[in-house]
Amino acid sequence: MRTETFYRTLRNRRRSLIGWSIATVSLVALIVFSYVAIKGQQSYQDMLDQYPEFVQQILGLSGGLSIISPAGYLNSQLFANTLPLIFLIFLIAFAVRETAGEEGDGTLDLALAHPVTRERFVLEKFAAMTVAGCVLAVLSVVTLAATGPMAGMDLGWSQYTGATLSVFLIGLVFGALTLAVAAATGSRAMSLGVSSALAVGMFVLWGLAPLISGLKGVDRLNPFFWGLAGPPITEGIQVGNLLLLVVVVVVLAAAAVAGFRRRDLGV
Amino acid sequence: MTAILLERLTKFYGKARGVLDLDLEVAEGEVFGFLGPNGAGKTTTIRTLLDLIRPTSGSATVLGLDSRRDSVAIRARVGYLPGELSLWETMTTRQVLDHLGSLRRGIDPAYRDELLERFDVEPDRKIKDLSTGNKQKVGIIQAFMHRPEVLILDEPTVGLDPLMQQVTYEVIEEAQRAGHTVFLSSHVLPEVERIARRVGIIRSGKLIEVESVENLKERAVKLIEIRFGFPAPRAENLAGIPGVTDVYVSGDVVQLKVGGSMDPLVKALVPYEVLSIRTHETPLEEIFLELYRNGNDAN
Ligand SMILES: Nc1ncnc2c1ncn2[C@@H]1O[C@H](COP(=O)(O)OP(=O)(O)OP(=O)(O)O)[C@@H](O)[C@H]1O
Ligand SMILES: [Mg+2]
Repeated sequence: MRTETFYRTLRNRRRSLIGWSIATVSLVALIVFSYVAIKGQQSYQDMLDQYPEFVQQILGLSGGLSIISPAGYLNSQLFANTLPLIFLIFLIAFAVRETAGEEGDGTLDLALAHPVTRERFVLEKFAAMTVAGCVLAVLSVVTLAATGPMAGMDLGWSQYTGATLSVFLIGLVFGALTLAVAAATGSRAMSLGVSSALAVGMFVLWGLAPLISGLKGVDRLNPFFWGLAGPPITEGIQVGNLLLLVVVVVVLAAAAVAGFRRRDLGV
Repeated sequence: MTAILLERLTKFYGKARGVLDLDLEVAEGEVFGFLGPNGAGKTTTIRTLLDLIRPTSGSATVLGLDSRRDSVAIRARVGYLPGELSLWETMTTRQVLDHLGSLRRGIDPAYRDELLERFDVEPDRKIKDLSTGNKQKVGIIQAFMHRPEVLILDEPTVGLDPLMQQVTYEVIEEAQRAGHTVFLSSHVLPEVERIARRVGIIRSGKLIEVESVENLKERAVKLIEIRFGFPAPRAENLAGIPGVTDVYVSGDVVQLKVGGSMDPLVKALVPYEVLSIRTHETPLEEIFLELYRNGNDAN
């Protein structure tokens, strides 16, 4: 009776999770192995140095990071864009599918006609989403640690874990936001639209921040800043920023519970 | 004791009317039929009982428990079949039943297996591979498998073949014999009169009649077709008989409607040679028509 919804949700996402796992491992490994071609190509770095600052920011190469160093390379190819995108798409899709999706399909009616509280239902959905995202995060770290040495990277578990965790928490913020909107509205379109628009908007703002002076300070109110600034791959995890991400996730999960408790279902 | 009690239950969807000021009491152990045409408010009422939607005003209680405050306790004691059943497509019947069983304190596995057998459901097929009727059977089984004190069934026999309708009626009767309460909605009177002792008729969100099945049938308008030998009576001769309306003569066949007792009509037919009389099952609409005439419908 205790965590049935959690298990059922994960079981029904099993195939999708397997697909995403394969994609994550392949993509991370591919990026790591491609480093071999760039390693030592000083001309490549010289070319990037000519680029404006905001391009370097978006490419994850701000603050004098070099693309031919392992950390600079991974940040610019994986942590500043590819990996956040994987987490964002996976977690947002998961949240839409498993909350507003279930409501739209009508299976919610049957589940919630059983002695389960709405609070518990949403929290189990949230837990399932978090655990599924963690699977991808762990796979990312393991793939990095396994393939890094083969490509001649001199980074270790702690850097890989710190950087992946930071990016995962960015994704979780938007996953929880999706859950909150879906819980409050029951609408697939609304939850998908609001969270993807905000995710894209925040990402662009993070990239533009160094360019637009008016954004100074405001750029700190951005999950991408909290998860990417540093960057964690060279500077280690930014504890304050990660706590901030966790707090936002918790607040959004609480909002999801509150929104779901209040309203009519399937309307 | 009261199994279901509605007190001035009102539900608006924004500005759209769901149900208005419903007052209804269903006793424990009763089989109650909730009849009404499309959009009347049957599903709205039922989903309120389970706290899936919340009343705009008024209240609903099940087994003395308030639908808002004690919803979890209610749902623990109720078996529910949604009007538009959706099951998780990628799961098998067995997985669905196991999952739903685990959401409550447990079910009666022997009874579940018996139901699977009686409804002829193959439990290891995926839901997405089942026909509409077979999905409906899974829905019925999950509503009954924990032997709930109250069954709330929203159009239970939709999509079932006659044989399976029969099994459904039997299972409902068994639940009643065990002292359980059954509240079921339907469009069709013949189904309800088979299994329910009492019916409520809802139309345009208002409960316009709560009546025992016997009384309702008494009063219902019956559609009758009579074949006469020569000579057939003239339409105006028949139209004057008390309770008879809508007389339509075509050659030696006469169609007409009778409200209430058949006695005046039968007596009036004595002088004629009657070859056959066919009565048709009363469509629900006819009952509404009659209620219209009686001015009971405020709509
Ligand atoms: N989500 C909703 N939003 C707006 N109006 C609704 C909603 N659900 C139901 N209604 C309206 O409430 C009224 C009652 O609908 P309900 O589904 O309860 O009828 P019903 O008796 O179950 O009909 P049916 O026999 O077709 O299942 C209808 O007029 C319907 O249009
Ligand atoms: Mg309905």
